[in-house]
This record gives sequence, structure tokens and C-alpha cells, in this order.
Amino acid sequence: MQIIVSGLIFGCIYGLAALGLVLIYKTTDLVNFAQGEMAMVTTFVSFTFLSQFEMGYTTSFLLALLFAAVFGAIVHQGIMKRLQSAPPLNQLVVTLGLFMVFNGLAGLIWGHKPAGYPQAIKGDSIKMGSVFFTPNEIFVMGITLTLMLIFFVIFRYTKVGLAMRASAQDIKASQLMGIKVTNVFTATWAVGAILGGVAGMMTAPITFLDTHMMFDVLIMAFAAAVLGGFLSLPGAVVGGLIIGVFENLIAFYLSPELKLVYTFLLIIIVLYIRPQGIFGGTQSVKKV
Amino acid sequence: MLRLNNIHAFYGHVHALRGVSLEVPKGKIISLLGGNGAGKSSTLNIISRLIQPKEGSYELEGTSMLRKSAGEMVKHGVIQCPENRRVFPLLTVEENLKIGAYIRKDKNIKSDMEKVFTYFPRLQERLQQKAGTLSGGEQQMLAIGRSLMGKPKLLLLDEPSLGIAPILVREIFKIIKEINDEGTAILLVEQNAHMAMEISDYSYILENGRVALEGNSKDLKDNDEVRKLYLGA
Repeated sequence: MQIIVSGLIFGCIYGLAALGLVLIYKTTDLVNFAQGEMAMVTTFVSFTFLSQFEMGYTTSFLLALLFAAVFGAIVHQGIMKRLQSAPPLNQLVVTLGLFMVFNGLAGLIWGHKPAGYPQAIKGDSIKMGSVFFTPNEIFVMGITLTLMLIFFVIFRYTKVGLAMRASAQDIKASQLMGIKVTNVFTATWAVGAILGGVAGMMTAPITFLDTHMMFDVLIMAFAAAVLGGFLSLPGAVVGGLIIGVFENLIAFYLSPELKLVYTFLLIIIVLYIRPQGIFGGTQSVKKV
Repeated sequence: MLRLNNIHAFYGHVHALRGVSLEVPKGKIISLLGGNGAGKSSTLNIISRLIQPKEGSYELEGTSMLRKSAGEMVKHGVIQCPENRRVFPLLTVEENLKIGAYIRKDKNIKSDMEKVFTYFPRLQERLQQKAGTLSGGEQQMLAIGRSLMGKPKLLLLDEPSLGIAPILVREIFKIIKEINDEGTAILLVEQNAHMAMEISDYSYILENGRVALEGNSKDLKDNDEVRKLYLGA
């Protein structure tokens, strides 16, 4: 049971990162490989606030998210916007390029030595039944569920959400409704970067803060997104949770080294049975 | 109300419009006819500010629109219902109508939706259905209804009869006339020249990006050349 619960914590982080990927993909039809590195940079920025400026955790956290939003918006306005009508493969290569650039720049600015990163909430474990939770774990789960709920509500019930869904389906028709599609896309990038940033700041206390910290998370987030169908927001989170738990079970019962292999074996099997992913409609299949 | 003068436009290197001039007076139905690639849709996209002309002037109620964005045109009440309907397939009928009112901030959106249902009662029956599951004719009704939600002063209709059963075409044209009777000017792009001239006051016929012929729809319908080339008679 304890293993499953620990798995859920990782799952939440994967889910958050996947949520950012899916949101950007759903709206702008683009897979953002730089997502993990943008999250890593955001986490370093929060660390700078914490250690250099000696701000409190909450202030640093919020300022870092503000940074993430601006960062995401700048990447879209400055770079991705120009490539909007480029072939998807070119856009993909550009996000891969950004991945490298951000990784290199972060190394130049913050160095390559891993540093410790504080948890959001310190404190002793709480026992519930036979399972131990640290307050930080509860925080991670709480924030994942809250963010998922918020974005689900925004997407489904607000005017901005409606504009996002419309822009994702038909750019020209959206313009004819008076929607400023480019601004909607920029906002989506900002939100995606925020989600990634949260995932980053949740990851850092577990893995140490260094420029490679998001590699595994990004891969798992991709896996989670694919498992969830890549178009479904709840799917991304559920995919993340499944992968987190599965990975932890494998690491405990079989071998920690092989957890990545087994996780992807699971994904291959799931996608073999349901090519559109668990939550994917028929539409995602046609797209391929 | 709207006036285009000597508009030239390019798609890449293709000289799509070669000096189009036309006028839509308040409250009238004007039809814009011609074959494939004559420049009909390009003209509408110039008016909606989706493409920028190389040359020429474009005025709405006496003010130049050449620096306006597509969104501002919608706010000015110039609303395009695009070719092939282009409803949002994964949004429900209700959401499609709501997004038609995206630029509006007033409180009458609900009652305007009721108004759309009086034109197209079927939409009310299908309110929670995804637009992609509607028939072609129903999607066209939804596309027109969606445009009406933006409170158009000038409605630009691009081929509303395309791919629709003839009986529905007649119904849709009847409603276009009703919409016009309540004061909305209409610029109607059609390949179905016969139906378009039937309901319009004045017609322009485009050929190779130029206005080849224009005149009162009644007169044009009896013009021998027009009958031979466009009405198949």
C-alpha cells in the first residue's frame, strides 16, 4: 500500500507535466519538447529567489510561477508564433532545439552541481491506516487535483476556455468569430509553462536540483499524455497516476534499474489494445 | 454602407483579385457570382480583413478599414459565414452559438439565441449535440445562426448552398431573405446563380479576379450572355 501511495505522488508530478503538454498540444497542435527544460529553468529561478534573495517559500513559488507565465508567453510570441504555419515536423525540431538551448543556458547560469531544494511543507509523517504521508506529499496531491480541477472548469465552462477549444479546432473560423487566436495560443503557452513549473518545483526536493532533473519527468509525462490519449486533460492526470504507481511497483518488486523499460512495455501493451489511448476519442487516431 | 474600390490581392504569386470594385448599400442583398477561382471568397476575405490587399480602398460607412484587424471587423458588425460552414465540430450546438457572440459584452445573448431558434428550430432540438454529428444542412443552419449571434449589420455568406439537399437550400434561402427583411445587409457569394439572383437586389459577376458584369439581378437574369454562361439556359 505504501508503495502505491508513493507511486501516486510521482504520478501527480507526471500528471502535472503531462497536463501542460496536453494543454499546448490540444490548443496549438504542437508537441512541446522544451516543456521539461522550461520547468527546470523555472525551478532554478525559484531557487534563486529562495537562496539568493532569501524569500519565503510561498513568495518564491508564486514569483517563479509568474516568471513561468512570462517565459512561456515570450517563447510563443518570440519564436513559436512565427512557425505557426510551418510543417509540424519543423515546429517539433524547434522545440527540441529549445530543449538543448535552455539546458545549456541553465548550465551556464546556475552551474552543473546538484543542489538540495526544500520541500513545500516540512513536518513529520502522518499515519493514515497503514500508510504514512508526509505533509509535503499531501500538498503535492492537493495541488495536482486543484490545478486539474481549475483547468477543467476553465476549459469547459468559461469564455476563454471556449475560445481555446475553438482555436484548437479551426483557426480561420475562430478569427471570423473575432477571437484573437495568437493571443489565445500565447496564453496557452503561459499556462502550460506554469503547470510545468509546478511539476518542476515538486520534483526538485525529490531528485535534487540540477539541469538534468526534468529528463525522466518529461519522458514519463509524455508517456502519461499518450496513455491518456493526448487530448484529454483528465486523461493526462490519470495516465500520470497509472505510470507513477506502476513504476514504483516495478522498482520495488522487480528492479529499480528496469522501471523505465517496464513502464514503456506497459505503454506499448496499452496502446496495442487501445491505439487511441485510454481516454482518447476516435479523433486522435485519425490525426496520426 | 460598404465600398471596395479597385482591390488587388495576391495569394503568394497568384494575382487573385485584379481590381475589384463593389458596393453593398444598407439593407440590401447583393450577390457575388462566378465560377471556381473567380475571386469570390478572396473578396470576402478582404472584407473580413483576413487578407491584406496590395492596392485599392475599402470603406465601411465612409471610414477606411484597411488598418483594422479581423476581430475589429466583427465588432463593426461585418460578419462572415465561411465556405464549407466550418462549424466547430467538437463543440456542442449551444457552444457554437455562444462563440458566435464572443466579441459581445451585452446581456441580450440569451434572447438572441432564442431568435436564432425561431429561424432554425432544429438547432434547439440538437442543442447539446456535437456540431460534427449534424447533417450538412443542419451545419449550414448552425453556421448562419452562429454568425447571427454576433449581431451582423452586414452578413457575408460564402456559398450557403454548397453540398446541401435542394429542399434545404430553398429553406435556407427563404431564411436568408427573412434575415434581410429585418434590416441586415447581405453579401451573398454563390455558384448557384439562379437562386442567388432570385433573392438579391443587385449582382456582380466575377471572372478571373475582375468584375465582368454587374447590374440589377432582375435585368441580369434576362441577359442572354448571363443565361448562357451562368444559368445554363
